[in-house]
Amino acid sequence: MADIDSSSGGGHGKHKGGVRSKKMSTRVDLTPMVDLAFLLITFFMLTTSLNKSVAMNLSMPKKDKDAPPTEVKESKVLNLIADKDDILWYYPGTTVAGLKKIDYSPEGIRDVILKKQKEVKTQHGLDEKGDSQLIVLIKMTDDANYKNMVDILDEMDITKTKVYAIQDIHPLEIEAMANGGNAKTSD
Amino acid sequence: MPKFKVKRSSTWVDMTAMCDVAFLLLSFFILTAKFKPTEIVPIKSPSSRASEEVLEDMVTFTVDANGKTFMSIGKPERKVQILEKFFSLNKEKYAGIPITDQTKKLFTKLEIYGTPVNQLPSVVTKSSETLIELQRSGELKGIPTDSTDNQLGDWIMAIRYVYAEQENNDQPPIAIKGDQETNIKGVKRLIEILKEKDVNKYKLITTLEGKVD
Repeated sequence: MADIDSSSGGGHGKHKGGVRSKKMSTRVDLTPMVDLAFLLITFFMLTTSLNKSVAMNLSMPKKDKDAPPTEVKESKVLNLIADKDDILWYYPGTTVAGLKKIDYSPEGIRDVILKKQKEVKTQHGLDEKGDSQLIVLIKMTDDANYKNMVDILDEMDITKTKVYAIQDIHPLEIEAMANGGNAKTSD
Repeated sequence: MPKFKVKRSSTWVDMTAMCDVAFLLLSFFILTAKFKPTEIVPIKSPSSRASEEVLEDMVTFTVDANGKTFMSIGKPERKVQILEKFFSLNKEKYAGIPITDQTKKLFTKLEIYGTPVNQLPSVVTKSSETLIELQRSGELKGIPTDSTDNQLGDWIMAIRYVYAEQENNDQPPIAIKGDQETNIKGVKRLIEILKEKDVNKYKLITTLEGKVD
């Protein structure tokens, strides 16, 4: 450190001929200590925020066998199917056809949802609260993992999709996925 | 020409004050930080944008990487109540299992429970170090969830009864915590059982986005 010793003139005027004990500066350079302290602070701040868990609310419909299934307009529906190896399939409407592969990146799933939201908005407008009327049906194959489910639910939050449901997968959909997008045309 | 002398001042900066502040902050952060206890069932939660806080008083169902289900009850006093309710609701089914006062006491101290109920009296006597070992070697079997021996459903029923009686709360505070790599089947089955037992609202525990630990 650039340090000019200011204590050199400190001892003048005392016992002219005696042995002059050299006075050392009592100042200690604290710079490395401050460095260390801030390093530790940074470390602790970063590690504490890493371990923070947060919760996500999830509401499922009540189990009511007698309740009639809710009628939905086909044009409002978007199906998302989480497959193994982080593959995601989607198709609009209620007819299992034309499944397309996408991924969990913002360019994948989010674009699809936002595009569908726009379509629904031009056809049906927004609901009373000003939210999109899009209905997303989420289906998970048995090979998907838990992260996929959380990712999809998170995407619902990001795109402000209010109506979504986790449903069981339909055999036709499994067949369609195995055939690369389209179900075998039934006779 | 007169020489113009530049006055040289010392470049020494007094670091004492800065040092004081730095260490004050350091001690503050260390003291306020809550250290994560070593978990018996280590979980890598997936990340999400969700921002809801995790409450202390929650019953958490954990699905580990192998798809086994574990249960941990947040409030110590609820543990005994839930345990007693579990056995009083299913008197015939679990008649052969000896539950003493000692077992109940030890159950309160148990951090996380995840074995078939017939192993409960022995598992409560084990220390958390032993349990970590057992979990590592895959000897903790998880709470049985299959329809022939749906013990998880019985536990959820007991939890519902206890929260309804004690807190007048029809929807107990239930959280699901899953490993991000776990197969969805375990979580699906858990959600299915919760639905069977009329629990429709729960929380999914995740970590903050972008910070997977």
